[in-house]
Amino acid sequence: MVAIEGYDTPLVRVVMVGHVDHGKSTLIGRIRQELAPMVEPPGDNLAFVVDQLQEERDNLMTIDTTQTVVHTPHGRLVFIDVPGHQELLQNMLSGATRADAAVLVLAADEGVQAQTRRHALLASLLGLRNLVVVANKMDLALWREQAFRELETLARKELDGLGLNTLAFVPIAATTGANVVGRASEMPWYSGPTLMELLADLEPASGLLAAVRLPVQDVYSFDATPVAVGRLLSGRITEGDTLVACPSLQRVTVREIRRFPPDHSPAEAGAAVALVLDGPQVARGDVIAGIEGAPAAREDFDARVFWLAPAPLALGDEVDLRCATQLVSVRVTAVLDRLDSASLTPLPSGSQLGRMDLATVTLHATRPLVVESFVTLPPLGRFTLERGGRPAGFGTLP
Amino acid sequence: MDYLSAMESDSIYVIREAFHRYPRLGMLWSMGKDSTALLWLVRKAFLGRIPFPVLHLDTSYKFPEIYAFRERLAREWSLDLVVWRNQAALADGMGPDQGDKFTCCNALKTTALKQAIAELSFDALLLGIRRDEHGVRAKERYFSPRTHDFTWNVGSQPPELWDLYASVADAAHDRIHPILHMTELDIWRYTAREGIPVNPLYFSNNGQRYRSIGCAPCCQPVPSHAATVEQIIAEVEASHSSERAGRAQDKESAFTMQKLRSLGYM
Repeated sequence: MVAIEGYDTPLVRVVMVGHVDHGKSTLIGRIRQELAPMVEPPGDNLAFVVDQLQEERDNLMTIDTTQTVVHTPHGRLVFIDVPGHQELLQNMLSGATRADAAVLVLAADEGVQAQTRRHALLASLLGLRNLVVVANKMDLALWREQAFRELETLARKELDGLGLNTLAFVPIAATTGANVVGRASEMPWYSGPTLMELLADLEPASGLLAAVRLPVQDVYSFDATPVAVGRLLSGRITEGDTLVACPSLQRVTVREIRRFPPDHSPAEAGAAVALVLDGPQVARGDVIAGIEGAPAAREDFDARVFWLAPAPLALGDEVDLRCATQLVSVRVTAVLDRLDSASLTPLPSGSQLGRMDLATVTLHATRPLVVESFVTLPPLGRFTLERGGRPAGFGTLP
Repeated sequence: MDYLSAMESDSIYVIREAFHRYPRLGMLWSMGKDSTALLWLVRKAFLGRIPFPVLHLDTSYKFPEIYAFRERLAREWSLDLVVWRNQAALADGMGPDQGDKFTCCNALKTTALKQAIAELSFDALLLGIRRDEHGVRAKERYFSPRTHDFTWNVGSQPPELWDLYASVADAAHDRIHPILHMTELDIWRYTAREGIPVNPLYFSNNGQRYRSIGCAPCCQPVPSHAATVEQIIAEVEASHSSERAGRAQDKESAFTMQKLRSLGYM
């Protein structure tokens, strides 16, 4: 290996969320223009930096999610643009599930709207608890402090209870660049940090668990020796370690760590690993764990579920649950605490979950499922629900 | 974990998911830096092997250096190499000087790909495209289903949540993009770190080098004195111009790339 400077710069992914036409794409375009200018800029409309489809430019609206990389003096930021239109929520989620942090974009002239609430709720559900709120289009509010303060008070009240850690409210104008990278002379009353100053302090999401968790992705038998492969979600594995395969809890010993080119050094969290194991044969869906505090396998559990498909999820329905490398059929045995995601108000009690509704759902799995709480280890605490091979909803475990 | 290792791990995860999912998996290899890095990642994922066919869509207009590089790695890495040409179109005289670039790319690449998929019954292909190459490629997913008529409906792609890749039952074939998250600079840094072989066209020759390679008549070199991978990295770090600035098919009109891709171009 050749050592080259700059390899360790953290890479943080930031998703812009918020209501349609509140300025998410324009804000990314502004940041690109100031920090990573393009040689051939796509005209005067800053949103066209990310809105590159003909349909997007014709309709002046983001349709699909995009990612763009910006190098800053503090590290590398990946900005994820998502559509703000409610009919494109699945594209929003394809982008937002890849993020470490979120910026909620709120237009000063329109204030809190349906997708503002829904996207803030989803940010919370996806674990993007660190949220920067920008009051965009401050030029349309004539740069007035009173307008900003009223918006901040209203937004804080509306988003209270979502469990978000709101880092700051920043008054900006993406079209002029005010308080995005540089300060705004139009708003001398604001002395807080600019948006990019706040983003410079963000760190990538990191796990809380130190114990080994390795969902088995596959077992290869290219030669006589089976090799179990997967991504090590947490912990560290050394040759000679004794671990357990969940849910059976049978012991396995790491005879060899295989790599190409060969290298037998310990495997660190995050790595794609390949292990030759002594003990009973493991299979895709097993989770290899440290002996101490191995995760319990569960057949009945509660989860927060957000539904995406047009046909509702009803009591008694059977769907496929995908969690890490596990795929298990589950049945809905209870639907509680339904919430309308556009208004953030409770729905009357009922036995089904409609499109874009959130609820606590009790699920019964046909086989034991190895899980963790979403907060402890996100990849083992989140899942998708599939119907006919397509994601129809997703959820997290408390 | 350093970021290149994290990116490598993300790529290997996608490659292994694809191998688990599809009985007839293959990979497209153009001998450029991206698909060669992908080929290297495949070797890492399968511990030195490449357990499926490697397909080269040969327009017959590639640089001689590309063919030489192909033969060298096919031998050294024991590739199950399949070279596919749209023979009918070539026999009819299709080439970059016959009509517009769009028609030529569509016939010699997209149609050739359709023929190869039908003839060799692939149900999925790994491709080395990256988000930062082009604004339309930035819209791609890791697992991208294609319909029977080969089209990519960019506005209505199925959701792809986290790394929980869903199986979509009704797709004709899937495209899998394991290095989607890597930038041009990441590829060069990864190439340097891993010591991946590099096509000599990327190195400076008489003050010029190719930054993106494809068919000889449609690629323009850029001024450069970079003669090593480390010098290329320094140059890309300092550069503000677009990687594909020398690629003719991107320039024909504003939405040519989208039109090509919606019809099944890579």
